[in-house]
Amino acid sequence: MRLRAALVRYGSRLLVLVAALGLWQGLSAAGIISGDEFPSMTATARALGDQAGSAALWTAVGQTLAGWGAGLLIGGAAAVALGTLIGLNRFAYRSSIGVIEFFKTIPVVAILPIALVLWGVTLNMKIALVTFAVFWPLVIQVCYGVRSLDPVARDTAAALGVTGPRKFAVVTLPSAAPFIATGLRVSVAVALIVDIVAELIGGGSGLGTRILVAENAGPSQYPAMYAYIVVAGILGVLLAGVFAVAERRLLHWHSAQRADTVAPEPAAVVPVAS
Amino acid sequence: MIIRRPRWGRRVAGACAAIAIAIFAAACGGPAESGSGTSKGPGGVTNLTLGYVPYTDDAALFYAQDGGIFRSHGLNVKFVPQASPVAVEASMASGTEQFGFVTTPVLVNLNSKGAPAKCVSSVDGNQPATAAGDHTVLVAAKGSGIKSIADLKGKNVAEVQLTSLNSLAVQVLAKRAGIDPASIHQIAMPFPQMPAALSQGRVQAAVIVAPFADAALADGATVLTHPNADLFPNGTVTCLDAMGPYLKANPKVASDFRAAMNAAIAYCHGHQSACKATLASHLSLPPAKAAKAALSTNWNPALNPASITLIEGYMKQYGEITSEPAAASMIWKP
Repeated sequence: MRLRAALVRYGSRLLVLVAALGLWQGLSAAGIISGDEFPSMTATARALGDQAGSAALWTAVGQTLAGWGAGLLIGGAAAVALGTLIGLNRFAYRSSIGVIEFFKTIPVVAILPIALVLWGVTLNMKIALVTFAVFWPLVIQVCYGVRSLDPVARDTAAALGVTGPRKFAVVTLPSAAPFIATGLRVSVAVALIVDIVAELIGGGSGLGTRILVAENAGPSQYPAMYAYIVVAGILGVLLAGVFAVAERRLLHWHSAQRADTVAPEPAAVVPVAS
Repeated sequence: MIIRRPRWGRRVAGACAAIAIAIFAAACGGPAESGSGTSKGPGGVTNLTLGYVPYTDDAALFYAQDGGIFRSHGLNVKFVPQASPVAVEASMASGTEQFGFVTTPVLVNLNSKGAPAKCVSSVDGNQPATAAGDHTVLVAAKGSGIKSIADLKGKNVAEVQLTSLNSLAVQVLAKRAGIDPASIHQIAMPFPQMPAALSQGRVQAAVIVAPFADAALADGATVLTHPNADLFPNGTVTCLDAMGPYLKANPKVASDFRAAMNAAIAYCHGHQSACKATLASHLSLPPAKAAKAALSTNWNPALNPASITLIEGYMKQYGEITSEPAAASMIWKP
């Protein structure tokens, strides 16, 4: 029964993918999309095949992952630490939430020139931008998570005399974990997008630079350009998949993970009043 | 001839101001800052980092590297591809790059904001004086009914960036043709998207460069003029620049850099196929495509201050700058 369900689930996904690729090729073959403007699916696949055998692609993937990973790690760690502190204190939360919301809305592209002036085209520039992009949305998520502590758990902890670091480790953090996990899952994609944008516009080494060089080389290199874009997309799917699996493993005890079907996410949570 | 990214859009002036402030701050920090990033390697070779915008007119620059000309002038140059001259200049302000590709409007903008960027050498020579050698074209879409520049009134014109040489040229050409430049809807768009936008009627005209122009012309677009050859014949519209404090601290490096680029440009003038072959590795072009690449240059490496003054005057006229520093101050002198 479970096998059949899996077959249906993955079979339908495969079918949609094949249909999309077929439509792409069909539009190119029918001449609706000119090869000078957008390459055909087969030309892109050929370019992808050529790239897969070259060291340049894998070096670029490695460079992109370096900025992504370091930025996500620093931004994520800082957001969890600061978000917890802010979430635990009502005064801190109320006084800082406005500033956090403000910084959350600043597009990274707008601060890219500042990052370039400060760090130049370096890995640090990419890490700084990814950290900035990841930090603000995640810190809010962590605040909400910490503040949404189940009153029964809180009162039980109080009745049992659990306080201080122990309360944080066994009550607060597990309660906030699903929020943090959802925030992280979103951040994984955001970090990758920002990292590639930093490379594409700023010039840091990685997939973004490969896309830029292929685009500027002219129409003959469009298949290569879209092949790099496809690689970026596959990378995004893989990274999101890894995080989803890790989340399921780590939070298997949480009600949101227990249901067979996809559970509603605690992403857009209304901030706790007061 | 010029590739600049639209993503920077109208932020060029703001970014130039930020760069100016950074340079000023670095200059105030003392002479140690101005020499940052340059290091001596084994055998007295100077290590440099150069930011460039990848496109076909970099052939002479690529040859200076691949042909060992930089090396024979005692320079070990690391190349960093970037999307726009503004990104290159910002990286130079950070001290991580010492030399970089710049377009004249960005150079002027920087200097008018107080950032002492100076052209050290040409990229591959000045603009050609005749339309035949110039591969930047103002085209009208098939069926747009546009026969001359005066017909652009009220029409949508695609340009790679709204504060670029191309957008400036459209305004100057419009005024010369007797129409109000403000009546033209200038739309920022990357070169690769222009052929489709023209054939679908989203824009009625575009300033487009080779090799992207080929698709538009194949779709029936017609050439109205070659803006650069028309307005800036033999002009310096791009160059490789460095910041004033760096040049002051490293005159020998600058002089070696200029000598290397002049030698590379002179070699490329006589050996264009050898030069274009470098595009195969640097732009990952198939060798056959690289051999056919169209370069917009007269192969004259002498920087042309009169053309910089001319561009500056137009920028002032159209409100892109408020002060006009002397063109001579934007060209490095040993």
